[in-house]
Amino acid sequence: MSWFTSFPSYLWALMALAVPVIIHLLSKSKGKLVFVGTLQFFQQVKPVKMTEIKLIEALLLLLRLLMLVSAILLVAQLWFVDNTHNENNDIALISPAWLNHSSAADKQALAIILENQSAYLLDSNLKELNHRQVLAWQKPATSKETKSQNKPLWQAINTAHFSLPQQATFHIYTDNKAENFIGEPVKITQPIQWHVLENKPIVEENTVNSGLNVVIVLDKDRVYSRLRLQQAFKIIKQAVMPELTLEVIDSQALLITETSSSAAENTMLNADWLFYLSSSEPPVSVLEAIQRGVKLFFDGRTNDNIAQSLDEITTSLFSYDSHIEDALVHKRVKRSEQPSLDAWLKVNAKGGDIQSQPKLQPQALWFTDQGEIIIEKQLLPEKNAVIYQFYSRFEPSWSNVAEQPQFIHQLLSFLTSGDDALQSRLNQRLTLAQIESLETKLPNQLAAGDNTAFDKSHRLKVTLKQTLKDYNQQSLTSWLIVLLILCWCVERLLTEYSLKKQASFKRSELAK
Amino acid sequence: MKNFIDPKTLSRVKDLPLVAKTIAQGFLHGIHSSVQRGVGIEFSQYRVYEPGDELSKVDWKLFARSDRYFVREAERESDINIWLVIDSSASMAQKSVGTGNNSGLTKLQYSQFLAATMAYLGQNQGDNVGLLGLSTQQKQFLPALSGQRHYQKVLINLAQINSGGHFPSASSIRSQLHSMQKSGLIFVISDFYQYDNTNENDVVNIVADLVNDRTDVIAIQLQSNDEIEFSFKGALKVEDLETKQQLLLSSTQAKAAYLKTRNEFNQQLTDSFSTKRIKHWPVNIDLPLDETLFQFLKIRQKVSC
Repeated sequence: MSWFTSFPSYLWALMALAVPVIIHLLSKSKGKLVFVGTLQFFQQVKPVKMTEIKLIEALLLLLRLLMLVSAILLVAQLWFVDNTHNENNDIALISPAWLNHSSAADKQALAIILENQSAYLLDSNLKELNHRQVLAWQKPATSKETKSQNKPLWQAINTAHFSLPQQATFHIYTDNKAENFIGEPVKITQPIQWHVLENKPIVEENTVNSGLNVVIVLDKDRVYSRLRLQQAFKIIKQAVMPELTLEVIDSQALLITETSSSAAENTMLNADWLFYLSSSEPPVSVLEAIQRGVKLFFDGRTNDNIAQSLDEITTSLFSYDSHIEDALVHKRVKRSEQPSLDAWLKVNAKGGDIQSQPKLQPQALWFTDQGEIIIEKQLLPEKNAVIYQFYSRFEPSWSNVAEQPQFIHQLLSFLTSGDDALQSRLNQRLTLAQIESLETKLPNQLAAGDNTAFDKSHRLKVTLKQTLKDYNQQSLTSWLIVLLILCWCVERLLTEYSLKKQASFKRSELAK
Repeated sequence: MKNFIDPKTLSRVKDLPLVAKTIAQGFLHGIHSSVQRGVGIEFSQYRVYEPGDELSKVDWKLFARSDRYFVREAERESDINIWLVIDSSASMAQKSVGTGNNSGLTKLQYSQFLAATMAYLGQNQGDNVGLLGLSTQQKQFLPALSGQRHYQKVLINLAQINSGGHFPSASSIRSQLHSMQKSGLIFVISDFYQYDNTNENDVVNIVADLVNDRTDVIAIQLQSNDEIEFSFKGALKVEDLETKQQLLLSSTQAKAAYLKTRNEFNQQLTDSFSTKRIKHWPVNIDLPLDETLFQFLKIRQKVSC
């Protein structure tokens, strides 16, 4: 009943109890004043009957008071529910990252605040924390573990939004690692106050990454591949890499404008990733791009054409000692004369570049269930260029890889692995202003279907939790309702009874 | 003052004679239509015979002299005294509050209306009208006289009667009672409730003293709807107008006992009146006056004839 004393505001409603009491007293004390000529006819009237009536009246008064009290409590409960949370309007949401990286002094300061504030661990479970737990927080041993705990911050905030009261203010304690802010910022009703732990970057920041440029070169008939890839990149762009740009170029267009430096060529030169999905021979611009360090991805087990030309180019690279112009000029001429890659490897195994040699071995990235290699990776020496080969196509008639859900993840891992840029970007630190500006962004539509599915199940969980939380309080409510109804019924019965009594008197008099 | 006579009531009853039942000397004057020679007959006028006049009223001596038919009209000087005795004790201030459809008159107001109408009728007949208002607080006495001017005096005195006090003891009003005992028609208007029902001051006994061979005493008992029906509801606080005593009770519980006691009281009253040769006339003050009075006069007429 501590809430009873702590919220005297609705106690004013209990003043309403005075009304029936006053009415009762007034009605009892007065009665209807009637002047009569004589009292001699009232000599035989027994005063005992009066007390009976008084008893019934008192009982009725009691019942009416009870009804009022339960009604007031019922209404007050609505306030009470809100009030309890309003009292601790501020809710601290502490991310594991903050706990991991904060100093003892920071924790001490937070613990003092938490003594009269509720706090939750900002992950998907939303575990409640007290200040002792904060002080006693042990940093998980391995960094890997830390990483797994770093669930997307927005998702956790979204959970908090649904399971915590709407009027609360969120005090979010987190560090300023950019990694935490991956994904779409959620729009929530609760105002957020950021308490960002200034976490100095562990690794020196790399060159500022301008985002990935992905270029897809396609044959006209590869409609399905195009669709698949475009969808995948769209999701990747929305979820992970907002700075990703995607260009789709028709392979025919490349062939026609081979010699001239067209716009398509320029985009290819600027690309980080090149998806060459064509059965025709790769044009010069593609080869040129490879030399510039583009990561090439081509598909088709039987795409000998490309394999051929790649062999050629690797050879040319070595032959001409990375003189790009020469390679370009002489590519065509020397094609047939040059030995294949295997041959070149054989030759070089004897007295070639020892350092670069092992890198030339293709590295299998993805196996099927049968152990068959689907994708393999090849690093080109001296250049940043990496060549991936997909031993299939993205068409369903070739393999269903592109249709599987993990395809996007795989694609993403290609994009990020070996690319320090993204890692460094995730390691980047955000300023407080940046973080706060995130929140103001409008939430985009959730791209993937599984996202909404997650949302649904999550919401279900949250409501379930809420129901459990409200259980005690609801039982009180139901008791009050039962009491109210009971009181009302008995009151009605008593009133009817007394009225009936009067009526019976009248009837007996009429009979006389 | 004029308010005491309701035109509606008057139009209903003005042609009815106020009849004294007792046959005593002089009482026949108002009724006999033959040539009157007795005391108190005063010649008024001759008027020309009109068809329909009774032949017995024609003055045949004059016809012999003038060869014309004249009807001799006489004024009667009656020695009948009509006494209007009004109980003006505090209990007469009672009126109905419980039920609707009531005139809102107190018992005293009703008796004033009734007395004024009676006085008018008596004055019109040439009777002497006397007035006596009785309470310990105030005594209005007007000797019985006739004439228009006296009638005005009666109305003035009637208007001056206020309710208050109790019914006076027999000794204090002996002189007035004595003057009434001579002859006449005495109306006693009261509720006949006793302030103290212990002694000879009982209203019934006082009224009974008036009764003799030459007087005709009519006791008019006023009752209100509230008293008759007792149609109250809920808690009730009754106050005695005379003793100022209060009693808190439940109306539904009290009703049965009340009605029983009251019936007994009425029965007792009727019995004592009849044994003392007093005509008992219970009147409900919440019924229209004209109807009540009309019924009464009709009955009186039949009895007398």
